[in-house]
Amino acid sequence: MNFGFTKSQLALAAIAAIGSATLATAPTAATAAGKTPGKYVAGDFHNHTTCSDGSISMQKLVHKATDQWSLDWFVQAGHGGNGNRNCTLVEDESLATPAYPLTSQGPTTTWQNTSPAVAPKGLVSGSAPNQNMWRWQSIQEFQYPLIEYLSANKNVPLFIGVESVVAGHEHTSMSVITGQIPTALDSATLPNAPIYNANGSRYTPLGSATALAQWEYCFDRGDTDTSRGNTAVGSGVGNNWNCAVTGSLNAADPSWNATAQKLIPAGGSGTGTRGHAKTVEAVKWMVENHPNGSYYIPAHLERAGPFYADGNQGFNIEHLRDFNNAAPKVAFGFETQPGHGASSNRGEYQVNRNNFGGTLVDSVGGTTYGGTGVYGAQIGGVWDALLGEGRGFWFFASSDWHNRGSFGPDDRRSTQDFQPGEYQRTSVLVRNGSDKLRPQTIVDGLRSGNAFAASGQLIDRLAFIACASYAGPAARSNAQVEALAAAAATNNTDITASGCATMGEKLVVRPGAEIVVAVVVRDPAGANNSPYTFPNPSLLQVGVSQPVNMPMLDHIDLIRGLVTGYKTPGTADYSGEWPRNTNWLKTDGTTAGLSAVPAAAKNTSAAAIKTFNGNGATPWVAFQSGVDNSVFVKMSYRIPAVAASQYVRLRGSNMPPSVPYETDASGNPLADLYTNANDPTKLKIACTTVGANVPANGVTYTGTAIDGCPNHLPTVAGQKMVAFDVAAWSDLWFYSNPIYVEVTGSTAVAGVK
Amino acid sequence: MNRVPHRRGVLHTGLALSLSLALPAARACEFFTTNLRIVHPWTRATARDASFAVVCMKFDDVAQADRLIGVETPVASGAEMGGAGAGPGVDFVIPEGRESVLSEAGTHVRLTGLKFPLEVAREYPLTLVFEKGGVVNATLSVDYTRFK
Repeated sequence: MNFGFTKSQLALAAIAAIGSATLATAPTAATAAGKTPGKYVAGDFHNHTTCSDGSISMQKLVHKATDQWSLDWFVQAGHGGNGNRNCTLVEDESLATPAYPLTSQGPTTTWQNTSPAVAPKGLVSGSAPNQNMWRWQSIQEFQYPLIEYLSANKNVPLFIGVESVVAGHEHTSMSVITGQIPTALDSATLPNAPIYNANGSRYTPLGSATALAQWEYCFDRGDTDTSRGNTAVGSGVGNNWNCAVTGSLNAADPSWNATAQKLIPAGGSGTGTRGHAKTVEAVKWMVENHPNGSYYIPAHLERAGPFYADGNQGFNIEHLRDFNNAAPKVAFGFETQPGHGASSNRGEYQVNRNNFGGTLVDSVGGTTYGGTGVYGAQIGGVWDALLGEGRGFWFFASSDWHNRGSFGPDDRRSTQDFQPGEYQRTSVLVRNGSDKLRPQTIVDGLRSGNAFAASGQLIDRLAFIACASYAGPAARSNAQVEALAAAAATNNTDITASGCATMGEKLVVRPGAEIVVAVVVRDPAGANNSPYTFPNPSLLQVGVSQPVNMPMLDHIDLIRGLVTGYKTPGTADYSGEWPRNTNWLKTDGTTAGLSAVPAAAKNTSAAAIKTFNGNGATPWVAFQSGVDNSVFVKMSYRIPAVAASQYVRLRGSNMPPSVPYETDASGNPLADLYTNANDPTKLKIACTTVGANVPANGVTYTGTAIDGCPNHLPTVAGQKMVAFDVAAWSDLWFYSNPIYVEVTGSTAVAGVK
Repeated sequence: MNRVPHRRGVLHTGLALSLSLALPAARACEFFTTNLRIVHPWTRATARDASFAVVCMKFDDVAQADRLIGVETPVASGAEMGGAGAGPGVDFVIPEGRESVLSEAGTHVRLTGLKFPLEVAREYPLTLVFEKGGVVNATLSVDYTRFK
C-alpha cells in the first residue's frame, strides 16, 4: 500500500539527519532543549488470557503480540475480580520455556485441578476443585512472575496491568508498575527448569507486582474479597493490606468495611454514585503511592451507556473530569477506540445494549463510528470538550483481545476480536535514549500524549508538529517546518526544535503569531495484517478497486478547537450526558448532531480546518526517505494570526468522503450500524467478490490469501454482506493526539506543562 | 438422554463439577433484557463425534420473574433441558429477585444435533428466547476442554 508514485515522480531527498531550521531567536521555546531521544513504539495494554475471560495462555498471548504481530511493547491486562483457570499452562510445545514447560494440562485447567495443585487464597469463591482465585493473588503469585520471566527470556518489554471492573462504571485499563521488571533482571541468570514454589508458582521473580495487586484488591469492583490479601479472611497471614487514602474519610466512610479494610459500597439505589466516589479514591491512591508509575484509562467507555446513578454502567464527561482533576498524571486519557473490532457489533457497542432499571439504553452513540466511540469520533464532542479545557487527555486504542469468535486463535479470520498488534495499535514516543524499553519510560510516554492510534496499519509513522512564525527574521516557511517533520518521521522520532511542539506538548506564542503545522506520514508499502486480498467492498461502491489488505491513506483532516479553560465542578457546564438512544442515533443511522448535546459535553469551536490529500491545488508531496528509501508524504498548513489559545489534532482514513454507509460528505465516519451483523436488517454493503481461495468456516486457515468474500459473512437474500472482520479491515482510521497552542494573554493551557 | 460413548464418559466421571465453574460476572459476556441479566453462557469443548453439548449460564438482577423458553444456535439443530430438570424443549423458570443458574451438575440446557465439534477458545452465536423478556442475541463461550 503506497501513494502510487513512481520513483521518477518522487522528490528524492537525502534526509538522513535531524535538521533544524536556521532561525533568528525563537520567540518562546515550547519544548525544553535536551529531551532524551526517543522512538515511536507500538504496543497494547488491554487484552485477556484464560486467567480472565480470554481464551489462550499468557505465553501464547505474548507470542502472538510480540512475535506474530511484532508489537514493540506489551502489557498483559485482563479483568480484575477473580477467575478459576490457570493461564500459565501452555497449549503446546512451541510455547514451552524452561521454567514453564509443556504439561498434560492446558490453560483452561482450573487452579485446583492443576498438578501440583494451587491453593486460592482469601475469601472462598466457588467450590473445589473449581474455586476461583482472586486477581490480586493470580497477579502477585503467578501472572507477574511469568511476565517477568517471559520478558527476560524473550528480551521484550512486557509488564502486567488490569482491565479493572470499575466501581460505578464499567471498565478501565490500568496498571501500577512499581516493582515490576527491575533493572537487575538485565543481568540475571534465568532458571533452566521450573522452581516449584510452595504456592505452586514455577519461577521466583526478582521484582513484584504487589503494588498492582494491592490496587486491584482495594479498588476493583469485581474483587469482593475481604481478606486484605491474606490466606483467609481474618488470618492475618499475607499482605495485610489497608486501602486508606491520606486525607480521605477511609474508616469514617459509610462504605468502609472494617474486615476488608477497603471501601465496599452498598448496592441498590445510589450504587453508581457511591461507586464513582470509590473510583475517585482509587486514582487518588495511585497519586499518593505511585504518582509516576500509574495510569488509569477508561476502556470502551461508551459501551455500557451513559452513567447510571443506581447501577454500574458507563462514563459521562463529568466523570472523566473528576478522574483527571484528582489525578492528572494518572487519569490522562481514554480508550475511545475500543477493541472487539471484528464483533457482530463493532466494538461491542450496540443499540438497546444496557438495562437501566428496566429500560434498555444504547451504548453512548449507539454504535462505533469507523470503529471509534462517539466521544472521540464526533468532532466537537466529548474529547474536544476536554481538550477545549486545556486538559492533557489523550486518545488510545487497544485490542481487548478475548477470542476469534467461531474461529480458533491461530486462524486469520475473526467474528469477534483481533489480537494485540494485529489490527489497531497505539504508537507512543518513548524516551529511552540508548537504554532498552522499560515500563517507566513506556508509562512516561503514554502520559506525555505523544502518541497516535491507527487501525489496519493505515499509517505506521507520523510526525505532527506546529511551529510559531512571526513576520521578519523569525518567520518560518512551510518548507522549513516540513523539513523538521520529515527528519523526525523518517527517523521515527520527534523534533527538538525551539519554537515548535508536537503531540502532547504546547507551543506558547504571542498574539498574532502564525502557526505552521506540518504533517509527515508513512502509509507502509505492501500488505497489512489482513488475510483478505479481494477488493475493498466499501470502496467498490464508489468505483475504487483497492485490495482489502493493501489500504491506501485517502486523506488527513486537520481539526482545530479553541481552549477556553477548565470547567468548575458543580457548575452547569461541568456535567452533561450524551443524548440517549434515538435522541442521538436515529433508526435510519443518522445522528441528531451537536445541537442535541449538552454544553458540558461538547466544544462547538472544534472543526476540520484543512483536509490534506493527494489531489487539488496543494496536494501532499511524496518523497523517499533517505534513511530506508520508504515513501512518506509531507504537507503543511498555516494558521494565520492566532489570538486565542487552541489545539490541533489529526484524523485520517482510507475512506474518502461520501462513501455510502461509511462516510458523510465531510468525511466524518458514519455509524457502524450498516456493517453490524447483529441486526441483518441494517446491513447495507454487499460483498460481491467470489474468489477461488475462500476457505470453509470449519477449517483453520492461517494464510493471507483469501481472494473472495469469506464464508462467515452474513447473507441477506443470498447476498454476502460486509460485517465482522471484513468491515473492520475495510474501514480504517488513525487519530493523533493534539498539539496545544497557548497564546500569551489568552486562556492558559493548564493541563500541559 | 443419549448414551454417552466411552471417551465422553470421562467427562462425567472424576470431575466434581459445581456451580462455581462458571466464569464470574461483570464481563463483556453479559446480556440484558428489560427484566434480567444473562451472565456468560458457556460450555465445554466436545468430542469429534459428540451430538450434544451442555450449556450453562447465570441469570441475575431479575426484576420480574420470567421463563427461558427457547435456545437457538447455528452450532446445533435443537435444544432441550438436561440434568436434574431434563425434559423436552426449553423451559426454565427464572424467579424474581434472586440468581438462577443453569449448571453442569444441576439443570442445564442441552444442545442437541451438534453440527460440528465445539472447540475450546471459540465463541458462537446463541439466541435466547424469554417469555417476557423477548429475544436476546448472546454468545456461547467454549471455556474448558473436555477434561480437567
